[in-house]
Amino acid sequence: MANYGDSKKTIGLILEDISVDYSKEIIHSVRTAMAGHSDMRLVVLAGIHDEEKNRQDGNYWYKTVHNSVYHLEEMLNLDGLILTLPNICGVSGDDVIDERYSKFAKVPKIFVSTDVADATTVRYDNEQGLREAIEYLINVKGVTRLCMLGGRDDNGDAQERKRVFIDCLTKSRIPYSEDMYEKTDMSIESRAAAEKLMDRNPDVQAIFCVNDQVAVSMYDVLKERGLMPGKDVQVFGYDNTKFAGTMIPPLASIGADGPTLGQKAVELLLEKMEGREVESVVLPTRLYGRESLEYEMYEYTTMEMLQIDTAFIYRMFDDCLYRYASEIHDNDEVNLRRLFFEFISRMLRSMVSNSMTMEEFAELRRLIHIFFANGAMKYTDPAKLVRSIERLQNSMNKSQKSVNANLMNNRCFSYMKDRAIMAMSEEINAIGENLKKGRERLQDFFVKCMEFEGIDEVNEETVIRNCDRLGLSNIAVFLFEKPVIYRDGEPVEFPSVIRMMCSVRDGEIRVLAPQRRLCPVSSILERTELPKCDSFAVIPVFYGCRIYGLLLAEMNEYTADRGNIVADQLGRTLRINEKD
Amino acid sequence: MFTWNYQYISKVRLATSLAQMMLDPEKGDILIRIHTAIHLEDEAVELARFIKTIVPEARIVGTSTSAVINRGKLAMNQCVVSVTQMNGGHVQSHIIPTRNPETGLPISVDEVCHSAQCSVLREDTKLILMFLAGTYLDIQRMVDRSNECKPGVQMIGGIVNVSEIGIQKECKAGFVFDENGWTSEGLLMATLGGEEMECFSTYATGVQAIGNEYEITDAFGSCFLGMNGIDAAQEYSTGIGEALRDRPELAELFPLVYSDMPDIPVPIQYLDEQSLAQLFPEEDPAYAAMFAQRPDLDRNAKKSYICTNHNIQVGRKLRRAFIYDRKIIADNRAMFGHVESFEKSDTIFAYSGAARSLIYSNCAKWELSAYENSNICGCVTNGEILFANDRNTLADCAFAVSVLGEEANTQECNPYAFSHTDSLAADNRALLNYLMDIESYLESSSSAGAANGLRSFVRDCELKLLYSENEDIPNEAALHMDIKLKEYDRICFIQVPDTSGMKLVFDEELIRLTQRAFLGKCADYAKRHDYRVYALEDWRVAIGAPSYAVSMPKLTRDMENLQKELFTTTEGLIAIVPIFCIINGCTVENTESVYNSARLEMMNRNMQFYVCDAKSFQSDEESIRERYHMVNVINYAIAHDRIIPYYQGIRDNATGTIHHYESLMRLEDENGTIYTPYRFLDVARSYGLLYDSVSAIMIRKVFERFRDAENISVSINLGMRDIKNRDTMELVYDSLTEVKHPENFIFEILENEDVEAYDVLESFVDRIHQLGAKISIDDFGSGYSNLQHVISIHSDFIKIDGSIVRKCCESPEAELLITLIMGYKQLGMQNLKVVAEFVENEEIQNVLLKHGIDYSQGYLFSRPVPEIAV
Repeated sequence: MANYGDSKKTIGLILEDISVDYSKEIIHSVRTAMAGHSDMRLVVLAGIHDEEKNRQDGNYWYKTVHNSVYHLEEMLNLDGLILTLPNICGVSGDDVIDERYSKFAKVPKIFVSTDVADATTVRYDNEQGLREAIEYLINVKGVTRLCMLGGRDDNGDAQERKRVFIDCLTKSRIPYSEDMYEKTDMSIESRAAAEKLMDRNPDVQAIFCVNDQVAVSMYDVLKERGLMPGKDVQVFGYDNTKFAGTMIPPLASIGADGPTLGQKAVELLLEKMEGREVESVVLPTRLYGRESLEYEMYEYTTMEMLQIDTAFIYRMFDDCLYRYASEIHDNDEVNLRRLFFEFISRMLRSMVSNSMTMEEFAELRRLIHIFFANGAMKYTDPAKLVRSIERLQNSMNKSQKSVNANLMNNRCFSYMKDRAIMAMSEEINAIGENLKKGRERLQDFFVKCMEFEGIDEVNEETVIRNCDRLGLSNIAVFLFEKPVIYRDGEPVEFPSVIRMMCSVRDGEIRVLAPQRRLCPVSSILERTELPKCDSFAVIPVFYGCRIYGLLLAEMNEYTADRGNIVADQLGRTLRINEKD
Repeated sequence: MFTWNYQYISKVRLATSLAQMMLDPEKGDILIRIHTAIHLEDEAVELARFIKTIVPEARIVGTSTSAVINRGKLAMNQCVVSVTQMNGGHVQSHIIPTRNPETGLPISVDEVCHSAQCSVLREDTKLILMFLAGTYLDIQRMVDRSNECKPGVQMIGGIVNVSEIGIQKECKAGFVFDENGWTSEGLLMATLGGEEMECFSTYATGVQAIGNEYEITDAFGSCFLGMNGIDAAQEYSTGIGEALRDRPELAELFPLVYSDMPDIPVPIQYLDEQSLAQLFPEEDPAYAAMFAQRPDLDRNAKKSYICTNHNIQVGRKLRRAFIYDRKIIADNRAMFGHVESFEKSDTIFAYSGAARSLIYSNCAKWELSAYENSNICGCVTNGEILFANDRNTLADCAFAVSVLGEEANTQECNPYAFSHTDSLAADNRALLNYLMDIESYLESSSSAGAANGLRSFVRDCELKLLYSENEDIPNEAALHMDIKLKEYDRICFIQVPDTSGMKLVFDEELIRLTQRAFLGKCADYAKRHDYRVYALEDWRVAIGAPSYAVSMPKLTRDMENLQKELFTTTEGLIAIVPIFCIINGCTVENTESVYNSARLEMMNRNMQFYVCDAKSFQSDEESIRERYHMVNVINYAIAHDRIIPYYQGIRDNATGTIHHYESLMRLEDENGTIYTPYRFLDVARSYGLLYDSVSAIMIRKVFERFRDAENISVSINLGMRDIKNRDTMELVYDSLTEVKHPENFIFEILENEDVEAYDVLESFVDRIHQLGAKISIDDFGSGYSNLQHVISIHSDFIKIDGSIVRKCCESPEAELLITLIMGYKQLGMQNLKVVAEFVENEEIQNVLLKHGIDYSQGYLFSRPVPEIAV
């Protein structure tokens, strides 16, 4: 007897593409916001954006079949929904609710960055941060030649940003012409658009990219033409994704000044689920300066520093580790903010009292070591941190009176910088290593699925038995009794029952006995055999038009990057081993 | 020599007591000491005269006091009379005035000494009792002089005070007396001596000199004016902080000491906004003379002053000092050792500083507790005269004791009283808070240069409070401070349980070694891994770190390793099994309670390693509220007859009619809301008596309702608690004998884990069957049902658990269970009737019918209702 008795509430997060940075950012912030709610679980349903139903697109079929995952919206008993589907802005809100979500009329919903009339939405204030950036460029940097690498015409935010861009220029009496604008599909592959823009504006001084992704292409084009972002051309993006900090040089970007989209959406949804009325929210934004556009968000004034003002140190932390404040932290982890306060305040105190003993120095080094060993670099990019540290160091050097204390403090600072850079390179190596391992595992999976001894046939069971080699450490595989065949133009109907084949918990596989497998699709999230996670991505397992089932994977960064690929490989392997 | 101490009750009682003592002046002199906190001056003299009439040969001396010491207890508002009969020894006494009544000037030290020599001192004097009433600024010199006049003769006594007026007022108000009269300005001296007599005087202060030396550079009478050339009051108060203004008694915590006697505090009085003219009124000719010698002083300028009770010699060296619990304990232990080992211990005199109770409220009580069964007697004074380092000296805030006797004797003392030091340590937290305040005050103060030296003084004081007794490991107070100030919020408590058994099997030395090894290993491990370690009790250690320096997984891993290290026993030591409890999110308020809850949890689950979050032990407000609400509802229902039986019909599947009703308990509150057992039963159970009364009312009501019923049965739910409850059972048995048709009553009993109760259960079942009623087993197939027991109970019905019935359509396993139960019935238990509850729909009912279930109960047929037509 399967036990379906759990009382957790399920929140569905519907988005377009799990692997793009914008989605990752939303998923991450929704997850952190839900971290404190142990009675909630998150399920991410991610399709793939298929623009304008373009059948000429080589991947059209793949995308369409993949998007059958959205059918689960109806089948899972969701208690709340967060939707972020920027492309539906062309459709009026009523249509969306009537057609696609008619069955969810009663389920509380929050739309993120999506224009839907009569619905609760959470979106960025497109105006505030952008104005801050452009006014800074024009008034402080004296820039007069600006361009914008824009987005899709059907994307509300992109259009809004364009409007603000034009408005800002006009207000500063810089004439705007369409030459200064080029649209993109907002993806990472926007090279052609970037080239066109550069062809028309070879002497551009500053470029606004409608999101962080298109800035990648912009960077490539600029570098090819011998222009260095930040030096020759000021570049800034939008959404302030983690990825912006890892670009070379790091990309300045506009992002939330306070809670992020996902956090706010969760907050509103929870209120709604408790039956309270909530209003749509527009989140304030601001410019996060990085090397592609130097912009200091905070001043380090000497008086505050000399007085070892608590608020000053915490503000410095928020500046150095700018991603930290927007995340909710595990109660068990090291409190980095407090730790930063601890060693910086000690350093400042030694500066004021003109003395630092060797013991104090050793203790400071230890604390700094703990700081970096516990993942401080996750919350910043090394260039930003190093520069912030240098600014503090310079201010302290100016105010320092004791040679000895000064020397010790400078040693602390250089240790910090070393650690920052080391930690970063370690992380990059680890990512590369992980990807390599992941690939090897997957290959191993293929090989194992081909193995057969004597007369034993390779079949579905063989594939299932090897699911621990897929490279994801917390998953569950659900397969339909028979593959569902996708027929173009016909609505997909999933059967009401599905078989839970196996679960992988922390890398350990458990294949379920045949009699335990069957369960209604609606209760797949309630199976006690699932890995112990609070959030799952549900990814369709299919090959061609044959939809075999679902892969439930713990929602994390790795799943976001690799989940679709893993599911595809699983689908392919199932197809190969299928008996026709 | 022997001594009796009496609490004075009335003259009549005193007369009787004195008569019973059979005092014999022929044998030796008699000394009668009176210390009174209840008599006015003249009354006191009157008392002395009264005693004189009864024992005309006795030397009578008396002082006023604020509290007396009698048989190891400190008592306010009492008077104690201590009678000492010497065996051949002699006693002298005399009151010497300290001021010339004609000139109003103090009498010189020489003159006083001369009077003393003439009146009370003899060649073989061994002990001088000396009490000063009023101010005599030369008292220090006077005491000093005695060392030269009579080297080696010990002194004990003090400056007297009175009860009504607190110690803040001038000590002038104290008085000394004998049968001839009283004075508030004079010295009372009594001497004891004799060939055989020996005495030993000692003291305890708890003071330790800390910090730099000051030289007294300027003084006026008893007032310190300059130390190291700086204004003395200013210098003194910076160390102690602004608080001194509001709490002048803090001066007692931070006394000054003379460098040559670093453990003897000099009494310090802090006076704010005063002028010298106020402190030393010129009407007093003595002060007028002093002012005449110092024309340079501005006598009317108002500022802070620090004063003492004797003339200060410029040029003497002073140091700051600190009183703390461990030193108090150590001093007392040392003192006790001397007292106990003194051979001729006939009598103990004790004089304790009034200030001792100001800082450590329990200090005087604690240090006296060891002498509860001895004949110790004395009083509280405002300054003590004591014998230290072979010299007599004036002290403050000290506990002075003299033991004396003429032949070998011992007093019954109780050194174990000293081991209960908790009451002393309790004051530490408040003190530490205060020290921390000072420290932060110093840090913020602008006079950085001066503050630096003081800061280290305060730090040193803190360290004194923070370290445990014999190891260099911080103690519990330190742990609390770290939690509070340094945010040490991840704490691992390590305890070796059941150590009391060790003492039975191993010798003390081995236990001590093992304990030291345990402490040492913990401390060493903590040091290697950058944790702080605290010794809490003999076998309890805490290891802590702040959440900003260590993550929980790391702390847990490290502690697991430590546990392994502790497990590996060293040869020759006792093998111990320490248990670990790691708490995340400690605060000063929650740590203790969370640790206790965690320990309970560990015991219940037999765990030796436990990790928990303080938050998880704090029940949320909602559930606490709900709990209290339910208790109210239950009480209301009991008081206002709102316990209402509901009845749900049980359908006979053979006839399609209702076979019997199950009675179900409901409560109603004042708003008419109905509560089901789901909401109140757990609360009622946790308050056992509530459950018993609710249950009894329910049983009574059901019996009332069905007393005369003819063709209908009813079932009543009983828990194991009911069956074990004699009163409830009597009620059931009595009721059954009174009803017409006992066979109409069925008792549904819930199987539970309480195996020991099976005897009781079986006899209950037999008794019920005897009386003609029936038994049903409730919730069969879930929880603790044990087939063997079910069979031995011989029940008439079994009720299949609702969770099985509810699932029987969708789950083949559930259906199989039903088949199994029915199969058991068919195998020879034909009389057994099977009931299925939670029959919610036709589908389920069909499955049940297919298997031949006898009775069905559920919403499909009927809901529970308060009224039924029978």
